[in-house]
This record gives sequence, structure tokens and C-alpha cells, in this order.
Amino acid sequence: MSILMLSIGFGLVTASVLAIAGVGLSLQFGVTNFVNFAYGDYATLGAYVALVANEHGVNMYASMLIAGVVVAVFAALVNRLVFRYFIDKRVKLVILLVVTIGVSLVIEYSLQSIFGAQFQSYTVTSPTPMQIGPFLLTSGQLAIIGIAVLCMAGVHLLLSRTRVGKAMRAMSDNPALAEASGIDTRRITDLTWLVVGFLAGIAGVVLAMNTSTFTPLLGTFFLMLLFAVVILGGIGKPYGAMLGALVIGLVTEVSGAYINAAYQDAIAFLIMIVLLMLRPQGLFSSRGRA
Amino acid sequence: MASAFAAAPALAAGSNTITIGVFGDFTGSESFLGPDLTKGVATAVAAINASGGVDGKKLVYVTADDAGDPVDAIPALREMLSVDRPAFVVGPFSDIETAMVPIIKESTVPIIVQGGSTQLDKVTAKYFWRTNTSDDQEGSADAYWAIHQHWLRAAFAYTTAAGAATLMDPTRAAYEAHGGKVVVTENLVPDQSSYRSQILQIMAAHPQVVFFQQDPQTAGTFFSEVAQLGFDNKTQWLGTDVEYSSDVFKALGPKIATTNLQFTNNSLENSPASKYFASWYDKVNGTTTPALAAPQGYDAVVVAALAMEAAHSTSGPAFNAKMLYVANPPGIPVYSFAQGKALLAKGKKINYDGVSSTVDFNRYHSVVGPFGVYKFTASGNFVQVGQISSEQNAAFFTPGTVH
Amino acid sequence: MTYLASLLPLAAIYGILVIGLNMQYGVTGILNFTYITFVAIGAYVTGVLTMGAPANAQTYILGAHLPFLLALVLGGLAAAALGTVVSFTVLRRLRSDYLAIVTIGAGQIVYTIIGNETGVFNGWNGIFGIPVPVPMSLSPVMQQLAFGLITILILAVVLFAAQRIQYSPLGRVLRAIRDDEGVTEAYGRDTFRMKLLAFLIGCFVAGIGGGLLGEYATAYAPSAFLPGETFILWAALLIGGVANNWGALLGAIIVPIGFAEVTRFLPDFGNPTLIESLRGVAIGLLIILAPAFLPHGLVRERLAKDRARSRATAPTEEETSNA
Repeated sequence: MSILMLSIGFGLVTASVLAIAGVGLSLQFGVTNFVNFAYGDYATLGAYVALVANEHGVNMYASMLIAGVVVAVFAALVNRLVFRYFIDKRVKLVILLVVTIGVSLVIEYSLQSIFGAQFQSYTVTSPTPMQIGPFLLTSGQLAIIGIAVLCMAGVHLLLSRTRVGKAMRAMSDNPALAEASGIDTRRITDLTWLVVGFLAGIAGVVLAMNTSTFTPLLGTFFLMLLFAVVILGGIGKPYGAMLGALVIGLVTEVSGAYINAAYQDAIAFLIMIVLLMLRPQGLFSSRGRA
Repeated sequence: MASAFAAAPALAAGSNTITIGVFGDFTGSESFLGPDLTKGVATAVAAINASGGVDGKKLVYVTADDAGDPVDAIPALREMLSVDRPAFVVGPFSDIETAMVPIIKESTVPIIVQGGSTQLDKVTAKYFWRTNTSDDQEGSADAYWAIHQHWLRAAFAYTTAAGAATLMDPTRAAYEAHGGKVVVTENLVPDQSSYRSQILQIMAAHPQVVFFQQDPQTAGTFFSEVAQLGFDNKTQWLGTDVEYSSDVFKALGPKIATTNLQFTNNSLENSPASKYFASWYDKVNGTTTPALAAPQGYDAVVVAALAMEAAHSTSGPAFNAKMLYVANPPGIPVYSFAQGKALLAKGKKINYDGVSSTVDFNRYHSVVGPFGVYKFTASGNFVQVGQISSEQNAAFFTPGTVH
Repeated sequence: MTYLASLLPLAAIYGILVIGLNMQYGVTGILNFTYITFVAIGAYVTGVLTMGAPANAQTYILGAHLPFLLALVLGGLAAAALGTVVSFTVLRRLRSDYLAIVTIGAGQIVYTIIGNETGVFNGWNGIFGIPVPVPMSLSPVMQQLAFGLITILILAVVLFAAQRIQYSPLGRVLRAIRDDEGVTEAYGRDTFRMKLLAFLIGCFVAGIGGGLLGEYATAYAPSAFLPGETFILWAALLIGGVANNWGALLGAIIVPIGFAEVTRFLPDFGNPTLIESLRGVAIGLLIILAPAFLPHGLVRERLAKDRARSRATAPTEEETSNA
């Protein structure tokens, strides 16, 4: 078993976790045109919802679904109650960004108030590794990859086959034209938040499963990697985000095997910054949106 | 978010209560330390109050958070000292204790720190005390155990948390000085989401033992990945006193925690004091398995309380002068506050021997080992598998170790 | 009491920090979400320049025994130097959210480097034993008051300079850039250079404040410049008054100092972290509510029409810039 191949295997798992959340973030950014700095905390919220469900005896996968639904509703509510207030007042973008920071802090510290700053874990049995080709993965990790594939497939179907999905893509590409062609942008935005919240909730649970122990700060660092993913793929391009997740997931895991592992995440940020300087529209985008 | 919001307010301490300050990490990357220490302090407070208190007064405690960073810790400690006016303070830990030295030097009440930073081995401050062994000693104990188990190829898997290097270096030095070979060193950034590539590096070097010190959260992630890679039963894992904790057991889960995992701690597992401590700890905290630093915190409070009894005073200068009187030999050994109080009333000199150590302070007001080697049982208790006496340990010290 | 006396320098230091942030965001509209990193550089550089050669098993660069004020200025310059490097990514014509993300990423990289490269600033343990620039022979209370005096004097200098800049021709251009960069460029202004200048001035002030903060704590470590620290300063600015230096001071007193200290006297309940967590929630709520109900903060920006004494007529158009 070469270290390189094993690292690639792990990179696929990391990429899966990043992909679920990254697609959501990219979609949301594209449709609503602002980045939500609380997105990582939505994922954390999902992880804690699943914790509560799990502690009441619900099995892990059902807990995951519950988490997805709860965060979906939460995300839609936050949009209605908080974001819309500022959007309707036509505030400057910077104000909205700062407000999302406020939402992030509220979620983080509310979770900390309720659950404390100590770490939590799910009660799951210790997994045994299985050899799949050149990779060494556990059943849990395979499940994560499977869930990611399911989510990607779901998003793809949504965007390509449904009217709602097509409206989302239209709003993402050209908001003014979308509105002019009669799309109910507010309704589509609401639905986008539902989808995005669902993805965030699932991603949070999966992330918590992957790290085994988590605190209310789970999502904050994760968010920074997500930015790298989304920027790599191009804002508003969910398919790009899938590829971005693959790249970042592989780069962080494989580089950790060869350089000082403390820098493995810093490499992702460096890539992101360099990309923003050279090609702000992302690797896979054709038009500039910077 | 470390911030200027650090201290918890004082309880309404009347003139017939004595306030103790607990100063540690309640938030930040080592946020388990504060609550764990508090459990030990609370145990001591309950036991002491049940024995009639100190000089007829009950003890109460207040906590303050140092947030794990010196910029917030300094105002927080100042606030605690000025506003809460505790008779003495227990804490802080090695992540910030070196930064607290200026305040400790200007303090007029005893501050009983709980961290092993070697920089504090030679501090001369009148009110400085430490009931936790220096990392030099612990490192030496780790090395002693590994060498005597014939684990001559080693790896290091310490986190980079503040205060960790001061333990890694003496361990390595003592180990290499006695024939051990360090084949790989991986420094883990705490609370990362994955350590797999580093685990692979360690395993590729085929060590017989891996020395590690990780906070419970990192350990949870790290060891579950070790298990996922199937490596936990191919090597021995030797941890430090940070692992002597119910939090770590909770993070690892019973299966991983009992697979080839041992750790050292300056604790006298079978000391006469420990049964008394265990029963009170159970009453206060609902378990007989102590949290990390709880035994050291308990001993700190007991010693200070005995010193206050002996001095018939809660004023800092007065009872600070009696700390050595109650803790160090010669004297009749006592193993609890109640015992000590009774003998002091008869005018006898006592020598408190505690749960975490014999609490005999050296000339720099710090305690010395012995060390025990432990492992977890399936139910999360500790069972001792070895003992390293102070003399055996001293033979392993690197030059310059204070003892 | 030493504690109350120690609040004096802390308030002045936070005042300086918020003024610096105001220069970047309030006046020029640059979104710097990693402001605390520049504070950190100031703290480290000023610290090592006054600490002399490494002792006590610490390792760091630039050990020297420079006089306090010189070390402070050099700390500010070091922060500005880092700002120069960062600005090449940050000040291009990127939209605000990209800017924000990049600043966070850059801050994270600096944090990781300082933590891991122990030779630079003693790694994760940080530096300690920074000498305090007041005579040790004074009592602790007097030491705090003396240091407080020094910080207030420096604050006065910073405030004066910030006011002069804000209401100078340069300041007018900066505010025009904040309000509409495209138009300002169309009028022939080199917006990149102007933004760079404002950004660097803000970084310099951050470094000065950071140097003082390091002296205050006599120690500094990576745990002290986690990303969340920046947002306390943001809350202070938003509440106190955007684009107004007096508002910045007010915000500094209300949020980091007042908010924390008032809640100290609440009765203890729940677990020890509960009160702290609730404070965090309150900060988050403040950051959400302040732009909603106090879009200009408590102290409004002083506009040209307010300053002109000779104008007698009503303003011709409403100020819409700070919506």
C-alpha cells in the first residue's frame, strides 16, 4: 500500500465532504449574489441536530436526514427574517456580509450556550478498514462517498430537469434577465435556501462523522476550505464546485503526506488566493464574475 | 472567540466564607482543562466543608476563564484577584502559565499553578506554588518506561498546543540518552479534521512505541483514524498525564481506549488518600474516574486549607508561610483535610501526602513525582500497570532537571 | 484597585485599534476581515524588539533592546509591510465578498506560519516576558495608571492624525472611493494607490495598537489572534459610528470594555461558559441589529455640510452613502 495511493483514497473522502457543502454554497452564492459567512455554522447546526437525534436512539442515517430538514427550514427562516430585511433596504454588499458574520456568531454561541464548549461525538461503533483496490477505507467512509454522489446526482437532476432548477440557473447567470422573464425571484430564492440548508445540514453531519469529535466551532474552519472549493470552481457553478472539491480534497490530503502537515490547509488557501489574482472567475468558468 | 469577556463574577462571599479562585481554560482549544480542574476543587471544597470548614468558615469557589491566550488571561487574572479577592488561586495551566509570571510575582496570595512548563522550574516567587510535576520529570518517566519495556524505536505524535513542546523535549532527550531511537516525529495541529497522512508517515517508520500528548478532541479524531487504518494493534501508544482523564476515554470510546494504550501520570493510585478522594469525587461528580488535573487541584486546595488552619488565618502572607509546614516532611503523615485538621488542633506537625503526589515541595515550590503507568479498563476506570519511583526517575533525568 | 486602573490602558488601546479599522472600512470601504493579524504583527515585533536576545527557552527573530517608542513605531511599520504584501491580493478590483474571503485566507496563512515556524516568534507558545515601559518601582496600581497615561497620549496622537487625514483632500477622495469607486476612477483618480495608502495607514495604526497590547499583556501568542477577535472590533465600529473617529472611540468603550465589564457583575448561573457564550450571542446580535437600527452607528459621520459654518440653507440632497 503506497502512501500516495492511500492519501488519494482519503482525499476522496475529504472531497466528498467538501462537495456536499461546496455545491450548496456555490448554488446559494450564485442565486442570491452574496456569500453567507454563516454557512459553516449551518453545517455545525446540522451536526448538533443529528447529535440530539442520535442520543435519542435514532439511527445515524435518519438523524442525518432530520438534520438536513431542520437546517433547511432554518436557512429559509434566516433568509426571510434577517437577510431579506437588508436586501429590501438595498444596503451595500459589505453590510450584508457583516450581517452574515453576526448570524454566524449567534449560531456558534447559541450552540455553545446549549451544549457547552466541550467536544461531542456520535455513538457509533468503531469501524474496521477494508481494502478497496489500492485504498483503505471503512464502511463509514464509503457511505460518505456514496452520500456525496447521491447529493450530486440530486442537485444535477434539480438543476437540469426541473423548472425550479432552471430558474435557479437563470438567476445565477443573469439576475436582471431572469426577473424580467417573469421568474418569481423571491420564491426561487426561498427554495434555494431550502435546498442549500439541506445540503449544509447533511454536510455537517458527515463532517462530524469524519472527525469523530466536534465542537461548536466545527463549521468555521470548514468554511474557509469551502471558499477555496467554491472559488476554484467558479461562483455560481455547482458543477465547478464538485470539481473544486475534488481538487482541494486531494491536494490537502496528498500534500499532507509530503510536506509539514500543519500547512496542508494553508496550501488550499494559497491556491485560492493565487487563483483570485490570476483567474477570479474560477478554473471552470467562462465568463468573469469577479 | 477569545475576547475580553473572561471572568465569571464572584459569588456573594460573606465574612464567614472563604473564596477560592479557579483559573483555567474554559474556552479555547484546551477548554476541557478548566471544568476538569473545577471538579477537583469542588471535591476538595465539599470534603473540607463537611469536616467543619477552615477555622469554622466554609469554602466557596469562583471560576475565571483564561481563554487559552495570554492577552485575555492577564486581565482576567487581575480581575479575579482584585474583584473576587480569593484567599488563593488554583491554576492556570501550561498554555499560559509562563505569561502569568509577572502577575504571580506581584501577587500577595498564593497561586498554585497546574502546568508543567519547564520554564517555571526555577521561578522564585514567594506566592508561587505548583502541585503538578515539571515536564522534565514526566518526560523522564515516559522515557524510563519505554526503555524498560524494550521499546527502542519510537515515534512522537504530540500536538502543537502551547505548552506541549516543554514535555516533548525532555522525553526525547532522556529516551535518546538511554539508547532509544526516535524514527519519526509528527506534530499535529489540534482539532484538525484529518491526520491520516501523518498517521501514515508514522506507520511507515515502524515504531515500537509512539509517545503522544493530545487533547481529548484531537485524540478522538486521531485515534479513530488510527483504528480506521488498522494500526492501533501494531504498536504501543504511550501518553502523558493529559490522557489520565475521563474525557479522553469518552473521546476514544471503550474499544480504542483499551487497545495498546498506556499513559503516565504523577499519581499515587494506591495511596491512602486516594480512597477518600475517590469517594468524595464520586459524591460531587458522580463518577470515581477523575478528570484530568482534578487530583492535583484537589491536593492544592487541601494543602492551602491546612496551611490556613495552621496559621489560624486566611490572610495571604500568614498562611503562605505555613504551606511547607503542612505539606513537607518531617511530620505525621496525613491523608485528608479532616485528619490534618485534627492533628493540627493538637499542635502536631503534619505532612500531607496527597492523591496526585506526596505533595512535597522542592526549594522552588514545585512537587516531585513518583509516576504511575496506567491503562483504561473497558468501563473507563484506570488500572495501574507500573510504577516509577522518584529515585528511579531521578536516575533518568537529563542534566539540569530540577528535583 | 489594580483591575480598574488596568482598564484605562485597555480602553485606550482598543480605541486606537478601532480608529485604525475605521480608516480602512469607515472611510475607505475596504473590507478587512483579518485586521487582527496586523495587530498581532505589531505586538510581536514591538515585543521582540524590546525583549533583547532570546532567553527562557524562547526562540524568535529580531531580538533587541530598543527604546519603547522606537520599537512601537517599528511594530507599526512591520504591520504596514505585511499590509503591502496582502494588499496586492486584496486591493484589486475584487468585489467585497472576494476581498473578505481573501483577507481571511491570508490571515489564516500568517497564523499557520507564525505558529509552526517556532524560530520566528516562538511558535504556538508565543512570547512572554515583554518588558513594561513603566518603572517597576511603582506599585501595581500606579504602573497601570502610568501605562494608561502613555497609551492615552498615543491615542491622542493617533486620533489627531486620523481626523486630519479624514478631513483632508485625501480623505475626501477616499470617501468618494468608498461611495462609488467607478465614478471616482472615471474622474481620473488613481484609486488603487489611494486605497493602498488608506489600507497601509490602517495597518500601521493596527500595529501600534498591537504593540501596546503586547506591552499591556506582557505576552502574546497565536491564540490571541484567532479570526474571531477581528469581529469584536467590527462590532465596536458598527455600533460606535462608522466613518467617525469619535464614534470609533465610543464603540471601543462600549463593546470590548463596557460590554464585558458590565456582564461581569451578573450573578453566576449555569456552567461557567454559559455567560461567556451568551455574551458571544449578544455580540452577534449587535452585529446584526446595529446596521438595521443604527446604520450610521451612534455617532454619525461628519459631512462637509455639517462642517461648513457659513451655509445657511438646508442640505440639497440627503446623504445616502451609509445605508
